Amino acid sequence: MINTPYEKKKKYFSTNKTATTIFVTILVIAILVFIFKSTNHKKNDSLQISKYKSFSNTPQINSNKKTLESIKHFSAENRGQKNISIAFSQILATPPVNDIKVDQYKRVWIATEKGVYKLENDELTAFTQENGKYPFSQATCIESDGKYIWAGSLFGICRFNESGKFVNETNSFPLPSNVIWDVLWDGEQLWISTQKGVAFFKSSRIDNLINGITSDNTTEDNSTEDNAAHILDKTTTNNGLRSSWCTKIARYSIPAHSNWLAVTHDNGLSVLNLAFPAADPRSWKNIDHAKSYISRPIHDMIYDGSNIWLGTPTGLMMINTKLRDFPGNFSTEMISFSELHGLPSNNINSMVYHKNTIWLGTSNGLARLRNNQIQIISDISGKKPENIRKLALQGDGDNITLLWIGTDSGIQFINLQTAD
Amino acid sequence: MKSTLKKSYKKIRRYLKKFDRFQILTIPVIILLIVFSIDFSSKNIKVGIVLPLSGNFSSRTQSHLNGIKLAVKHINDLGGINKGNIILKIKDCDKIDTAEATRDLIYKDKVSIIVGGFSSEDTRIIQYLSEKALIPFLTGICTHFETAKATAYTFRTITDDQHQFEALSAHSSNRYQVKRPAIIYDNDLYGAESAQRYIEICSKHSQQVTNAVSFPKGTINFRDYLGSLFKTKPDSLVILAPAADSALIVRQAKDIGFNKPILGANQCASREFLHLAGAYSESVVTTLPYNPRAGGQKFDSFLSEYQETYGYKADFDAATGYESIMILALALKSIPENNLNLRDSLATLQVWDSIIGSGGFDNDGNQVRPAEIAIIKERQTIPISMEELF
Repeated sequence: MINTPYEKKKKYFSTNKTATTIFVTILVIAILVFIFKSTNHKKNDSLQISKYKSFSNTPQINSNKKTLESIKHFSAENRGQKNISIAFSQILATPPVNDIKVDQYKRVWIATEKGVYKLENDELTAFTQENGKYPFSQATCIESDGKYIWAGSLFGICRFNESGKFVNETNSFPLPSNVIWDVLWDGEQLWISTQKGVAFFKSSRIDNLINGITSDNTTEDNSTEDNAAHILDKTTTNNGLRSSWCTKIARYSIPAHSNWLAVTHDNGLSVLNLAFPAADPRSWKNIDHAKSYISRPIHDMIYDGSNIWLGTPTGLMMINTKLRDFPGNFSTEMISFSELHGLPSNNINSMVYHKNTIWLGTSNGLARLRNNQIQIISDISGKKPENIRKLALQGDGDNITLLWIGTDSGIQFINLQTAD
Repeated sequence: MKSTLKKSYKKIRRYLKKFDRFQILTIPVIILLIVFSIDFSSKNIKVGIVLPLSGNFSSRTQSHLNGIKLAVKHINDLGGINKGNIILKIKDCDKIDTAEATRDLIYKDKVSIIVGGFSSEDTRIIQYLSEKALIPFLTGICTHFETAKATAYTFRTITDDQHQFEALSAHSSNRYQVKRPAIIYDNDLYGAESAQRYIEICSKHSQQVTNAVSFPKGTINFRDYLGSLFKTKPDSLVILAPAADSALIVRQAKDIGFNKPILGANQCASREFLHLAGAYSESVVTTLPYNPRAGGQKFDSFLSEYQETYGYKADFDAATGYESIMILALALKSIPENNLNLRDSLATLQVWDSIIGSGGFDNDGNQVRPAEIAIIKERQTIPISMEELF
């Protein structure tokens, strides 16, 4: 008779020894396979993040990097450049980031290569085609008009609605192309830049279009004419806009002076004085790639209250003519900054302007331009980003506190007050 | 019926009671282990092709596509790469918008790489989309000098315009002592930027361009353009234009009586140019993206098989199409060996040996192979290095 639990256990294990051994062996194999697979997966992931054409372990590139480093140091020493270290937040993993927008409720909307993500109260919510909350497989850009959140994609445009999903609005809006590169709300109009021109819609018209009313004027005959009048392309502007493949759009205002629409495109940059008709080519000021030696494509542009700056694959460019002087004294002369001036990379992907400082997101990290000095930002804590795809500010005017950074692998932020 | 079910349920329960809980737990673990170990994903590699296949450039692009298809056939016939076959997804960007074609290949067909391009604008669109989506783009046909510069995911297997212009300018200076070339270029394929680049290169060889004129797409009569060029008394004519336009320009220039050297970019080495210019093509100096003899026996086998398959002789577009897929195959093959992704694997290809000779990517992903200069004799492009043999 077996009475004590110990004896029971002993008997049990002696009779089931083979089964136990098999079970334990299989379990160990399964764990080993799992560990092997996951380490392999991690290896692949980390390599995918690597952005440079060549590897740091190839001797040829090492020597190139060395040369660049020495140029950087040479330039830094000679210009009295001082790099700074600040705290970076942890990375919140998302697919590669294309755009970031912080709305009036401090919700961070992120357009990515797999859909839209929303960061609200430290909680990240995915809106993807897979979970049925987003109609397309990709999101290029995101914008808030104060009432709706708009996401542009290579497949069309969609709107975040009351049901908590993005709904496809491509068929409601008369767009020149479904391939959308940028969406901008200027307080009165929604501007949508596409592969075949820029479309714009007044706020009153947006609700009509959403509700299926195709024209402000309800008569059928006028609708087509009305739609056509809201598209700017090479033809409708009589070559004022030099290319219809438009990418970034921006609106700049000089109080009590002038209002401007800036469009980057395949031929360079076109800037329209909104006081004059867009169909008159003389209303446009153009900077062509061929004449101005700007590398294609222009990745981003900003206005510092005086001049327009362009981020390109071969460096940062400033249009020497002040925007205020565009009407009478426009020239295509540029001032450029590159690795030779201390930039971490020539490839400037994104820029933002805040308090006399231009923040630069490059293929090799974050930098800023302040008082004619370039400073490379390194990490005192957290991990500094490598390939920055998008920068965005959180806050308004003097209350801007955070700089959001979108990369190939997610988003993170820095506190601008600590950087100052 | 119910009683039968109950009986079988009891039977199973009785049977399972023979085993202890560890033995029963082993079953789901084994199932999980099997499921986890088997790779259910297809090993086939989807390659997206974007080319203008039905418009003005169809003669060249079809030839390029034939080269691509022949390479894929060879690879798949030999068992594919890493146990997977190459599957081509072809889009004609003359019929659908280039941006939409590329977008669909990347996001709907989920291709591993895009191959193609041709015109500089189409190539820029493909490049822009690929770079955003982190999908490699390989062109074996677009020679525009801007392509693959300051990019991370774009690679080019054909020698670019910059190298070709340098070779052409150097050769014209050394052989014909050209000092005052005139340039005629199209607004569509080469454009003002390429002409400007040629002018800059000329100054390196102490050449002063006398005049450069552009003509719009669809021009048939070039006499006015040529007239204004010849007024400046150039000692040579450089043509940067598509093959059909180049043929018309050569014919009309010679008809006017221009008897000085005529130099053309690689468009003048195409089958289309030779066919359209006919006897007028004699003595035109052109660039070749490669020396056909550099590939040796491999190139001969390619030529004969191409002729057998398609019924006509392979030109350089066909050869570069074939080469681009073979380079892709090399990169794909080394993925598991080096534990790399496709982009990084392509970036490591700094030296290779293909049917058209040795080549490699530089740090920008651009071809390092130097351009060859050829002269047209009896409607054949003869590399200068072999001129004395003919």
